[in-house]
Amino acid sequence: MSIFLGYAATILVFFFTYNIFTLGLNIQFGYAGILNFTVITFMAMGAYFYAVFVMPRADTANQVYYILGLHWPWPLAMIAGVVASGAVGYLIGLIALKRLRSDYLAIVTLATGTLIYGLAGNQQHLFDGWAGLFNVNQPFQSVATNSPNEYSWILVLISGLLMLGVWWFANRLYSSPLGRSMRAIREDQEVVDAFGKNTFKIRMLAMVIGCVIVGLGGILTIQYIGALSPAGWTTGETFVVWAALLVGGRGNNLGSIVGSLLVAVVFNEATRYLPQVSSNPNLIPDLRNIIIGALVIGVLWFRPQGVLPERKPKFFEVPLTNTIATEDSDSRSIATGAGA
Amino acid sequence: MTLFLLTVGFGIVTASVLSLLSVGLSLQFGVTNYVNFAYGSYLGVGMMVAYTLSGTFHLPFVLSVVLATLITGLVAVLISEFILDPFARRRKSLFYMLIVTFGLSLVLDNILQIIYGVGFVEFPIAQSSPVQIGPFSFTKVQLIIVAVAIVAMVGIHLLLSKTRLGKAMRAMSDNADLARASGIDTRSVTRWTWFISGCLAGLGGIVLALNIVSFQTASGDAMLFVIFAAVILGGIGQTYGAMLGALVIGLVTETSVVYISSAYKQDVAFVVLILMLLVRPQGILAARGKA
Amino acid sequence: MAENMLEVDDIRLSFGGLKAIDGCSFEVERGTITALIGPNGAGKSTTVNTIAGAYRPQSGKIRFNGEDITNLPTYARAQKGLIRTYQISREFGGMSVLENLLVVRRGQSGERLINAVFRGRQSKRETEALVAEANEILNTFGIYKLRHEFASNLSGGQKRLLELSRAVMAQPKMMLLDEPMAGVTPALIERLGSHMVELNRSMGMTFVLVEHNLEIVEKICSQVVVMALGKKLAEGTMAELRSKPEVIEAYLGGGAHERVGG
Repeated sequence: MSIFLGYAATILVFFFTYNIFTLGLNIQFGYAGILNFTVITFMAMGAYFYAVFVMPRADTANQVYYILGLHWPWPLAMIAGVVASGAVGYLIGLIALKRLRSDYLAIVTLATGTLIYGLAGNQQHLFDGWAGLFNVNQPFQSVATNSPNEYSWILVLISGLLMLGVWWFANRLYSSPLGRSMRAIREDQEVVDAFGKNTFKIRMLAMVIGCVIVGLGGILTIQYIGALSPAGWTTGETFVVWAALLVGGRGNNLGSIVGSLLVAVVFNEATRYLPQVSSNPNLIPDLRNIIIGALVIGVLWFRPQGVLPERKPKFFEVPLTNTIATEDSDSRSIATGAGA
Repeated sequence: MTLFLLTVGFGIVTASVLSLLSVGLSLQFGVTNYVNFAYGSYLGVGMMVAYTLSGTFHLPFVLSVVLATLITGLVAVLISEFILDPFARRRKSLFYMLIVTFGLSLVLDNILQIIYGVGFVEFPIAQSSPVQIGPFSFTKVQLIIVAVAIVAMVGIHLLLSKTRLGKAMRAMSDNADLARASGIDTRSVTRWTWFISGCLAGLGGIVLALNIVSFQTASGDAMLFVIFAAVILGGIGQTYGAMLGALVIGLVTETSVVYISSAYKQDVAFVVLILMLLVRPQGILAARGKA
Repeated sequence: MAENMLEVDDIRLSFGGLKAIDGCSFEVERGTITALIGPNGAGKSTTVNTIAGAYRPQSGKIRFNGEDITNLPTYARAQKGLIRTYQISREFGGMSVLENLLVVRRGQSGERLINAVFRGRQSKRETEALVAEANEILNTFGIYKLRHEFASNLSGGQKRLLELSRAVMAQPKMMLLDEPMAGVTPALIERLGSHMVELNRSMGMTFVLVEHNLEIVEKICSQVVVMALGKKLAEGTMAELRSKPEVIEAYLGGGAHERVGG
C-alpha cells in the first residue's frame, strides 16, 4: 500500500512540476511568441541557486565544491532561486530581444544553454561539476527524517499549491490587457510597435516571467529529489516541455495541463518500465528522445493547434447605443466582393 | 611571439573547417530563409558515415570521404523533400520551421547515438608529424584541410557567379517570390541548395573530426554555435560574409589560447556572437532586408 | 488659422545605391485630408514608412506638432498620436476582431503587470468601457457582427475595414494610410472614403494617404502632394494639379496619364 502511495506521490509531484514548466513556456511562446530553446536551463538555474542558498558551506574536505552555501531558510532560498533564473532570462533577453527576427533569440537561447551547461559541468567550483549537487535541504526536513512516507505528501501539497498559483496567475495574465499585448506581439510585433507599445519591454516581461516560473519548477524538482546534476537537464528535457506545450495546445493553459499529463507523465512513465537492453544501455532513453522529437514534428504537421486549441476569450456583452445595424447586407457583399 | 604565430596557424586550420560549415549553413538560410537547427547533426552524419566506410568497410580513406560527403548531401535532400519543404510550402510561420528543425536535431542525434553509442572514435589513418612552414607548424592532415577548404570556397564562388544554378540561388536569396515569378524553378533550386548545404556539412564534419582527431556523434552539435557565431558575424544568409566570419572566429578562438585557458576556446566564439548581436546584428557585410 | 501638423523637411534615404527619397519636403495642415500621389517607385510608401518610423532618414527632419520626431523610435511616435496602416492588411490573425481593437488602446492600467494580475476589478471596469467603445466603432464600420470571429477568417475587404477601425480605436491625431483602397471593390472604396471624411469632420482627425485611385483622391482630399523620383513634384488641389504640365509629364513617365485625365 505504502509503495503504491509513494509512487502516486512521485507521479503527482512530477505532474505538477512539469505543469509549471509548460505554463512558463506557454507564457513565453504561447503568449508572446518567444522561442526559448533552452527551457531546461532555467529549471536548472532555479534548482541550483535554491540549493546553494539553502545548503550549508560546501564540504571541501570531501571534495564537494559549490558557491555560496549560505544555509538560508528554505522559503528565502526559493525566492533567491526564482530571482536567479529570472535574472538569467533577463540577460538573455537583453542580448536577443532587441532584434525582430525570432531566429536570433532561438540561436542565443540555444548558445547560452550550451554555454551554461558546459560551465556547470566543467567548473567544479560552481555547482560541483558533473557530480552535481546532492543532499539538498528540503522543506520541513525534520518530517522527512522521521516519517518519509508522509513526507512525500507534504511536497505534493507544496507543489500542488504552487502549481495552482501559477495556473491562476497565467490565466489572469492571459485575459489582461498586458496578456493581450503579448499575444498581439506574437501575431505581428511590428504592428504592435506602430501602435505605440514598447514591444521590447513587453517581450522582456514575458521572457522573465516564463523563466521565473520554470525556475520555480526547478526548485520543486530539486526539493523532491534532493539532488541535481547536469545529466538531469540535457537538451532532451527541453523537448519534453516543448512537446507537452505543443501537444496540449500553445496559448491554452488548460492545454498545457493536458499536454504535460500526456507527454511528461503518461509517456515518460510508460517508457520508464521498458526492459533495459544490456548491450546498449542508452537504447531506451535514445528511443524516447527520438519519439519526443518526432512527436513535436508530427503535432506541428497534423494538429498544429494542439489537442486543445487556443480559444477566443469571452467578453461581456455591451449593448450598442446606436442600434441601427449598418452591416448585414453590407458586410455580406464585402465578404463576397472584395479581395485585398 | 612564436606561440602566438603557432596559434595563428591553428586558427587558419580552424577557419578552414569553419568556412565549409558556415558557408553550408548560410547558403541554405539565404535560399530557404529559415535557420536549420539540425545542422549540427548533419556534421555527425558526415563524420560517422566516413568512419563506417573507412573503419568498418575498409574503403580507401579518400573514397570514404567523398562517399560520406555525397551521402550527407543526399540525407539533407531527403529530409528537405519529406519534412522541411512540405512544412515550408504550407507557408506556416517561421516559428514552425525553427521548432521542426530543432526537433529534427533531437531525432537525428539520437539515431546516431543508437548506432554508434557515445564513445569516442578515430579515423583509421596514421598521424603525420608536423611540417615547418615559415613560423607556422602544420601536420600534413591540417595542410590538406586548408587545401580542401580553399578549393571548396573557390568552387562555391564559381558556382554562385558563373552557373545558372548559382544565379538562381542568389535570386531566391534576394527575393523568393520575385524569383518564382520570373520563372525560376524554386523547388529544384531548393533541392540543389540542400544538397550542397548537406555536402558542405558532411565534408566539414569530416575535416572537423580530422582536426580534433578523436570524435563522437555529438561532436558536430558541440560545434553548432561556433558555426552560428561565424554566420552571424558575416551577416546571416551572406555567403561571402560567412567565409569572412569563419576566418575571424577561427583566428580569434585559436589565438585566445595564448591568453586564456583552452577550455574556454569555444566560449570566446560565444562572446563574439553576443558582442556582434549587441553592436552590429546585421553582420559585417550587412544583408538588405534580412536582418 | 491654418497650422502645420506634420512637416517633412528635406529628407533623404537610400538603400544601397538606390535613392528612394531624395530631398523630399512637404507640410500637412491640421484637420486636412492630404493625399500623396505619384507614379510607382516615386517613394510614397517609403516616405510614409519614414514618417511612421520604420526607417530613419539619412538626412533631413520630420516634425510632428512642432516637435522633432526624426530620431524617435516607432512606438514613441505612435504615443504622440501618429498612427499608420499598412499597404497589405496586417491584422492580429489569431485574435478576435474585438481583441484586435482592444489591444491598440494606449495607457490601459492593465498593461502593467501588477494591475493585470492583482487589480482585476479596476482593469475589468476599464476593459468594459473599451469594449463598448470598440463595439461602436465596429458598428460604424459595419463589422460589428464579426467581432468574435478570428481576424484571420475575415475576407480581404473586411480586413481593410478592420485595419481602419483598429486605427481609429488608437485615437490618432494623425492617420497615415498606405494605399487603404488597394484591392478593394468600388463600393467599399466609396464607403472607406466617406468614413474618412466623417472622421475628419466630426473628430477633426488629420489624414495622410498614399493613393493610386485619383477619383477618390479628388473626392475626399483637400490637398494633394505629387511625388516623383523621391521628391515632391507639385502640390495643390487635384483641379490645380491637373493643369500642371510637369505632373502630367511625371505620370506619362509612370504610364498612368489616363488616370490624371479623369
